[in-house]
Amino acid sequence: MKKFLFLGLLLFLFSCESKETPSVSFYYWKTFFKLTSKEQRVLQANEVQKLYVRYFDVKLENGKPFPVAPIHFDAVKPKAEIIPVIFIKNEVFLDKGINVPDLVKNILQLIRQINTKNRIKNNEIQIDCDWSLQSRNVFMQFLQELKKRYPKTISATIRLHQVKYFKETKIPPVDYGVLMFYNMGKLKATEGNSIYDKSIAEQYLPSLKNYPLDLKVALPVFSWIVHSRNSQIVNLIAKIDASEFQNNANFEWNENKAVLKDDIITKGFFFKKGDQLKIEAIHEEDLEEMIDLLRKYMPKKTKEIIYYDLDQNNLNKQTDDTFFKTCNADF
Amino acid sequence: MTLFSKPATLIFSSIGVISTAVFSLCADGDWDWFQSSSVFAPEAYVEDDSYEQLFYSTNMFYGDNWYDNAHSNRFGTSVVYDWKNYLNNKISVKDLEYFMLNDSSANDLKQITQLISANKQDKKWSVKYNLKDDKTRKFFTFMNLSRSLEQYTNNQASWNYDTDSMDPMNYMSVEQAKKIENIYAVAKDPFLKSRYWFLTMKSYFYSQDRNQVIAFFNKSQANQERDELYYRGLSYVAGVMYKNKDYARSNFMYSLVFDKCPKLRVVATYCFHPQEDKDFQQSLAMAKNNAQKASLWALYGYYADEVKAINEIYALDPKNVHLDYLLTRAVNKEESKLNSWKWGYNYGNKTTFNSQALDPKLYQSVTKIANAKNTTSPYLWDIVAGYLEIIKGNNSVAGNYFTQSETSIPNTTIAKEQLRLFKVFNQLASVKKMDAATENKLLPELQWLFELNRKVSGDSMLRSTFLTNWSRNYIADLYKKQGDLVMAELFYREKEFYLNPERTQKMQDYLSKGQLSNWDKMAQSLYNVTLDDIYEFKAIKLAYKNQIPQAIAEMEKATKNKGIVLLGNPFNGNIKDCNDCDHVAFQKTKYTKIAFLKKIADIQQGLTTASGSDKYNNALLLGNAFYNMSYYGNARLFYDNKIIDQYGNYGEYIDDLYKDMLSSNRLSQEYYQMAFATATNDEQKAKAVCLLTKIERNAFYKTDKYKPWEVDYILFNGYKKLMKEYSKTKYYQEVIRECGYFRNVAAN
Repeated sequence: MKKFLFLGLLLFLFSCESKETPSVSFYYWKTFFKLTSKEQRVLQANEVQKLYVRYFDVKLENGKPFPVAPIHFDAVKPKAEIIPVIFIKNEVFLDKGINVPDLVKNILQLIRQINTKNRIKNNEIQIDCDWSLQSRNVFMQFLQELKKRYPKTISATIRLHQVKYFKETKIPPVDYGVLMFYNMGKLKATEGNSIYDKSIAEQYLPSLKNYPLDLKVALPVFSWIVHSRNSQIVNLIAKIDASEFQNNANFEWNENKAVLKDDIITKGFFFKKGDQLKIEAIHEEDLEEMIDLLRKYMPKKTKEIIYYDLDQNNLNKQTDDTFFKTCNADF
Repeated sequence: MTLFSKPATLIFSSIGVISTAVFSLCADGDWDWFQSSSVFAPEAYVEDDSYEQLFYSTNMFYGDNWYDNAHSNRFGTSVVYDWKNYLNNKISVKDLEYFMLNDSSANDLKQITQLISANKQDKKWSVKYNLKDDKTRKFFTFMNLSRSLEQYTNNQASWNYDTDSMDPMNYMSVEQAKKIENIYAVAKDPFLKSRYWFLTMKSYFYSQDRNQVIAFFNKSQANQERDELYYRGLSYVAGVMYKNKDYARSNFMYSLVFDKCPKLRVVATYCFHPQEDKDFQQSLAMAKNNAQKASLWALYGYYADEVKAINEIYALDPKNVHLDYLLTRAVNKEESKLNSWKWGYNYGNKTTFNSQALDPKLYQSVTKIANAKNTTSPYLWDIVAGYLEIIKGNNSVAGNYFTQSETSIPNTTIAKEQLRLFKVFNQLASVKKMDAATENKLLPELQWLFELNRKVSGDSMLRSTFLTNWSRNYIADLYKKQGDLVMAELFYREKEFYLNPERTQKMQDYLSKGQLSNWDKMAQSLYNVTLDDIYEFKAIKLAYKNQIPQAIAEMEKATKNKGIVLLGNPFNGNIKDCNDCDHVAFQKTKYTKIAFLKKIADIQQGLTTASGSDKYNNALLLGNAFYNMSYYGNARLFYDNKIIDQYGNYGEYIDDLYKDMLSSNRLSQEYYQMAFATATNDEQKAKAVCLLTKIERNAFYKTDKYKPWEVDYILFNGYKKLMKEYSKTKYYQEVIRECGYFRNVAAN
């Protein structure tokens, strides 16, 4: 880690571009907001100023857009500024009968209600939607309408393919975008890492210089386990620490992969003899490599890196609590 | 998203930002969707639709509804029906539905109940209903109370944060629930008592202390009839126990619900969720009889291992009804392992059939049970045993099983057609040589199969796609072995077939023959290339070889295709390649494919005698014609042909078989060079150089030096020449105006 600190320092001394280290932020992606002491420590240690909190999803219910699982807050609020993130399923914008002004009104009203009830103030809304060519125009119209009614900052998440093919997918009319630098590969039973793959990243990165919108960056810290049988994926086990299976004699581990020695039900999952598990995780060196790549390809230094997501299970892999701050210093 | 996810977690699990990857899991395999590898529709023989959503699917859930979505209407019909009987039709079904199921009846219920409790009459309700009648009074009083609980029990999608069901303010107080228990305690009428029992269960479940539901259940359940209400109540207890991490008891109770309450079968399945081996073993130990053990295994089979579950259940009770649904899952799962096919676009769909991978345990269990003939549906076991014998290549054994099942299958179209599918499969799989006799025997069966597959999907649950593809592969392979390449091609079209002139001629001869047998007619109906396409294909190939008179002769024979009108003027040569612009530009003369070729022939004729500017012009026009005919030009439509099949493919996606032909600008280059050589002034020369530079650029696109977005152009020789020798021409200024790349080069 010292090496990286040192490098960070060099950058600080010699970089003539921007001397500021990108700040550390996190996404919070659970339905009940309550921070564990570990999570609180990490926020503090990395001087986190902003938390991007999923407020609710919007999906179609009986053909109409409705919110799903609005967030509830513990009495203790974080010190960091809360930025509501609304995940809207693409189906909402694909629906022919959509009433955009109503949707905007409803979303803003629900955000306001959540804010009032929980005594939260915010100056920004982030919209997360994996829009497609078919839904593109309605999505853009939605953002314009949102901007009319919410004159403060509006941001949107941007997937890699939307950067590369921006002429087709269009640029969302927002104040800035957040480049989601993860989930870039295809989920495969036994090989590769679908969360991050350098060779795939490199196919998209050169396009960054042409992308006209200001970008912040979102990097992954989550992991999951791909469970397959006869080379077919049967399950994606997320939000569970792999050590739960690593300490079980029924699993024969070889690095990040395991084979089942016998049929077993454990931790609520059924495994059959011969089943395979593959951990897809992001390690410190991956994050450092990602930052290296982004530094090389981004035309402008990013002001902020948002890590996905703040969850105790994701925070056990780092060597120390200040990792994120140190890591950002290399940018 | 776990295999054991409960509906609630599925609905509310919010993976938002990371959802892309999860959904790509479901979409994995693109065209290789499940039904395409299956020949067996579970609906054919499992007629109880409470199992339908439990059939096997490579998506997470079976059917169109994705997950169990009947939460608000599952019991709608039965509760109305029960009250209708109880009330002896004193209130119409329509009114019952209004009071029981319609959200807007709350006020009316309140008014009526007030009248009843005050023993009053009014002009509105008392006229409509006999409010002095005991049963009617009981109905309204019960319903008013029941509907008043909905504020605690129902969670409706809403944009209002305050009424969201997660709000802890919204739990019912235990005292309130206790009051309902008191009503239950004093109720005498058994119909009413049973309903108040359920209402009490429900109230405790949604109260601030849901554990009360267990205590109440334990003291009252013995008196409760084992009806739908009982199992609904039992589900509440199972849910609370799950929340209390008492997994063994929770799962045991869910298995009872699964077994005895078809309406809750899917819910019970999704809620069944042992955490560790011991939980399941403990549940088994709680089972008091074989039926209870069997239903636990039936649930285990859904998640874990159908074959193991079948063996366990069969040992307990061969007549157990859950065996059938497990068998369909086991077979469908096995199929997805054994069978696969690849969509071939306009060509044959390649099927693979990996019979070696058949699970011996499944085979042994199915054969044993089929031979014992002691289940409730022996025909199903016979049919599956027959299917597995086809997979193993034992066609006569398979045939015997099918014959045995024939007399006892359900008398439904789907059951009969499913059996027929297997019989066609078996019949064809046993054919080792194609001859007239075999063709005659197969003809009606294949006609039926292909017709079934042509019908719009959704008409029938039957799965005929894989079998259709497989049979076409199989027949084509037999013909190929026998050297009949034409028939092989008709059943399984291959991309390379027409690259061999001899084969092309044979197909042309075959398609031209007058007398067609019924077999020929069927085979030709599968094929999407016509004689017209073949003539056109030949003409196009000749044109790219600059054998224009021969090309015209072939194109003339393509009576339909020759008249296709090209979208832009194919003799234009612009600074910028903008096909769309050329297509919308005004054209005095429109060229069909044949007219285009004839015009080329005319100009070529003229070229031999022309000199000076005429020669220059003719050479330039021919250069343009061949340029536009190529991948880069405005007349790509010229190569749109069923056999070539590259129209609309972008550069790198053009098949290697045709890449050279379509992306070569050799002929065009020769004519442009001729134009340059015969040009009489600098303006003409500048134009020829510019057009030649486009060809230089196209060649650059094919090299590694071209990097989209990074290196889109280099300093082409043509640019250098233009700048050095023709910068004074008017044409040069035009190039500067029109071509951004050149403008950049010239500016630096």
